[in-house]
Amino acid sequence: MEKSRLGCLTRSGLIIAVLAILVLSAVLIVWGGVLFSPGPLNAQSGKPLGGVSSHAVIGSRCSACHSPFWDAAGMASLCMKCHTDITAQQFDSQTLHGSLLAGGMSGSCWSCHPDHRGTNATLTFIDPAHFSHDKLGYPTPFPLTGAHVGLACTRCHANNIFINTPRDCVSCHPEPASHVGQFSTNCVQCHSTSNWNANFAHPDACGRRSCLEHHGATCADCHPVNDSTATCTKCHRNNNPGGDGGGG
Amino acid sequence: MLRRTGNPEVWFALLAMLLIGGVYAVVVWQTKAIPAAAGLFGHLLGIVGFLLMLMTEILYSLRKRSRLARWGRMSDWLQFHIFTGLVGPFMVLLHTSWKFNGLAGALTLLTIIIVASGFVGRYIYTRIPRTVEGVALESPAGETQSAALARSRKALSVWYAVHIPIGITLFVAAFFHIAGALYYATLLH
Repeated sequence: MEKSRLGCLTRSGLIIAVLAILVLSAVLIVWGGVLFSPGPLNAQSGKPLGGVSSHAVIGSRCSACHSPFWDAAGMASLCMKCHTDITAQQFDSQTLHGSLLAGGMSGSCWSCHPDHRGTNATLTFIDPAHFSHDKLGYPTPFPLTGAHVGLACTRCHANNIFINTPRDCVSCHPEPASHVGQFSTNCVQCHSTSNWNANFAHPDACGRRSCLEHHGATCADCHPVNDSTATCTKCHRNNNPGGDGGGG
Repeated sequence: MLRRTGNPEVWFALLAMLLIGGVYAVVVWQTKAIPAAAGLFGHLLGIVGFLLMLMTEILYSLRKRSRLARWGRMSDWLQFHIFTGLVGPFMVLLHTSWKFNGLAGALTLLTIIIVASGFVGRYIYTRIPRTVEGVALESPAGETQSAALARSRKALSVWYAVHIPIGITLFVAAFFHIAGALYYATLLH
């Protein structure tokens, strides 16, 4: 009884199938591929490129970024149509994107810059697992060593902006007031990422040996106020370590 | 001749879903991210889930309608239909990466509706006495039950009239979704 009327190739089934095809085709014709959009495009606006100020503005023009699969040029070529500055960077290893390519990074634009994640979603996602910091950076690589290992990306790259990150130490490590004017900001002269006093040679204060070697004193023992003033009174009552008879 | 069964297919389906859910959890734990629908694992879930759903629809209907392909009991095919009809949609649900935009979102909704409808249908179906082959018995077991049986038969035919069009709409929409994914995002090249 059921068998004669039912099953998927019934008249009502076929009518429904044709109707569904018609409705979806009509939506496709009227709204284009928006039907397939996995989510709104980023609305962050900037300097207009190719007459477009944000991805969201061209949200209904899928073909602006998506080429059909038989088009060999692919999506990256459409990215570069507008982002000509990045196109130029590719060939210059002194630039961010050039240094990525020179460092052996592969992948498409969307590997780091996915979209369709909402109007306010960030446009740069970098997966640390697939990202060799040792090879990257410009004009030269910036390997993460010592205390820099394991830091959260945002400690240096605020707001997910990876371009033009300052490389000099003082951008992240402000120079202490007691340091200003006495030492240079060429920090690696004395400090390394794994050893704070790596190359620090203390001036021979007492005329014989370095206090640091002689007494194992800490900085604060002789410089309780700041590094530009010193006192020896912690060990030498008369503040005269170099005096006669071994000082006093 | 009446067949009383537990629901082994439901338990097998739950076991399969538990295993797949476990693999999904491991992937989330390893990558610290929800698998993207267009990623390797996400696509695998979508493709295998869809094939299971396609088998759910086509094989059962084929066995039911065809005069040639008569192998296998109808009741076994129904069990297969229920197994793939639960596991397939579960995989497809994991494929969504929990985003429900546009046609893909509508498709997820249709999938949830058809599974819910399937549960209802299964409930009505079991109220009609059948042979061990799974074919409905024409004569009622007893005079007193005939009115209830007639109601069940009526309910089942109404349910068919709803369940099948939803299924067909679902598959039409799924083919559009696949065509769109192929056109706009084949390997995102």
